Amino acid sequence: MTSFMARSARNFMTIKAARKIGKEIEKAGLDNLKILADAGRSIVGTYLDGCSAQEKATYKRDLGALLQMGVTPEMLLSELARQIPQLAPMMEGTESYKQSEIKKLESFIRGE
Amino acid sequence: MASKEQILEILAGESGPMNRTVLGKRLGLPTSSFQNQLDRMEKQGLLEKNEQNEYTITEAGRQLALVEPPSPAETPLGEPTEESLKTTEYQQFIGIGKDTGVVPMALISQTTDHIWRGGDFRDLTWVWKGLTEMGIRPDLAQRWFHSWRSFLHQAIPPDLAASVGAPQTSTEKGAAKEAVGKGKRDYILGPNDTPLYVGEGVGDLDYDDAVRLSTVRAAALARGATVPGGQPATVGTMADEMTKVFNAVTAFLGPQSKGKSYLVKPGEEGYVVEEVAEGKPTVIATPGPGNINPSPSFLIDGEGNVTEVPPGRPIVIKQATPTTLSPPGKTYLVRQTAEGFVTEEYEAGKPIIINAPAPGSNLPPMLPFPVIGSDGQPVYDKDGKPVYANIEPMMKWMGFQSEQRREDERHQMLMGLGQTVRENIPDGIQAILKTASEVKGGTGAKTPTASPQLYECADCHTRFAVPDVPFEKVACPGCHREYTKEELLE
Repeated sequence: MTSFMARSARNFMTIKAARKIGKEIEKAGLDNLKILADAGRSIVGTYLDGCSAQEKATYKRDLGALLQMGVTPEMLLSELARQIPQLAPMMEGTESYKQSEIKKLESFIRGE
Repeated sequence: MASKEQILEILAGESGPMNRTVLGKRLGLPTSSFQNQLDRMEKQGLLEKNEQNEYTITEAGRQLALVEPPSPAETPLGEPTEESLKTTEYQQFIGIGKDTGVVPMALISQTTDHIWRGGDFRDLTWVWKGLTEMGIRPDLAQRWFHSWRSFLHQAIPPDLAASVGAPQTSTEKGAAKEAVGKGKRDYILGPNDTPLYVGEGVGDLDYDDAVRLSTVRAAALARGATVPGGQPATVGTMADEMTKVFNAVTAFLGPQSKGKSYLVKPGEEGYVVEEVAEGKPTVIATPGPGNINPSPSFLIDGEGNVTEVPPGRPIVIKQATPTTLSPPGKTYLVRQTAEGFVTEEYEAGKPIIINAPAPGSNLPPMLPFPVIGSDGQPVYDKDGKPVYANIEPMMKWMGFQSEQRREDERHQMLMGLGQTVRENIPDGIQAILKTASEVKGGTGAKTPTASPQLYECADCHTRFAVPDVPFEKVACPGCHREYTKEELLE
């Protein structure tokens, strides 16, 4: 059974990671993301395509560490939607869109 | 710098060439200090250098090494030397041999070299033996020997008295008989015309003759003439003679005479040496009315200094202090007290006890810091005591500065830590609250995150969620119409 402190730490890391992702989303602009979501294009995939190899390696390492702590991509996106409510309609609008984004994140972490 | 003679002497004793390093070791000098000398000697033809830079003495150098005795110091150029003046013993001996009539010249040189190399040329017994060994004709050898003995101012050694004595004529035999009646020939006339006792039967004059001759020469000296030897008999030379007599007496007495004072005064049988008792006044007798030119008396103190003593003046030798050694160096103790560093003089032999600081004393165990002058030597005050600097204030100031720097660094670190905590406290609280809600909502297993409640815009029908933070208004992400909390709850 996971201790209270461990679960608190996991939640803390989730919040911090989501906050960092949120800053990147603010840079990109919510309107642009909405356009991508409406067009059925993956926001995660588009963002990762624009990253350098070094940035990709850094994200993969950080996300892998989070995954080892028990922070799943689903938890991250949920926390992100909580912090940026405007993202929630985009995520929840199409059920398969959120699942495809989660799968994309998981495949990125696994290095596929 | 090595002298020419030193280098020649070493190389003359070697059978082969010698390099500079070995030569330097033999001289006890670095090679750089005599390289110029080697170059000069090579130019002068005294040395030869081979391809391996090793030096060999030439025949000219060997001759020079044999002729020139080693001199302790180089003679400046242009000044006459013993060599140039032909006054060395070696040259004098050769000159006497020439004057004696020994031929050829090679025999004189060979004989002289034999005597110089085989023994001490001042030892008359060896000189006579050397002359005999080299086959010098007996009459010439005797003349050469006696001339050399006169040159050295030495008496005939007792063991040679029979062998070097000239054949006695009948007249001389009569004189000898007369001499036996008057006294033995125990005296010679020293270089300063003073009768000098040299031993029983080994002198040239009996006492009466020596005194008479001395008186005649002293009278001539009083008239302003010079002695036959050409050298004026001055008081200084007389003093030198007295020093020789004194040295002979002290050598005879050995260590007992150390530190004592002696009086050398004319006696009935020449000069006599008397020890002067410490503290007891001694007076030189005033000469009688008929003695116009009396011989002077001399005082020789414990350190060998010779002073002429006029007749009638009392002499008192002060008693020597118990310790004649120079006073030992003073001992100072520098210790730190509450008032600062204190320098105290301590007597020799007195124990020095340094008390340990009392427990609880705040004084650090600091060593005294001597003041060093610009010349790198310790500085002393007017009393000769070493000067020590009180560096405690400076050390305290440096300690204060270090403490301040550490305090600043600690403050910066705490500020950074505080900033981090401030930034993360809201997230931390949210994490704890979230965990608490998870625990309350389930059995401890991970609960899926509750989906936020969605609202639909009345104008553009866009679905949106409200932030999970206290809010008053929320805007529709589609048409940006603002809804109040009350409107959303309705």
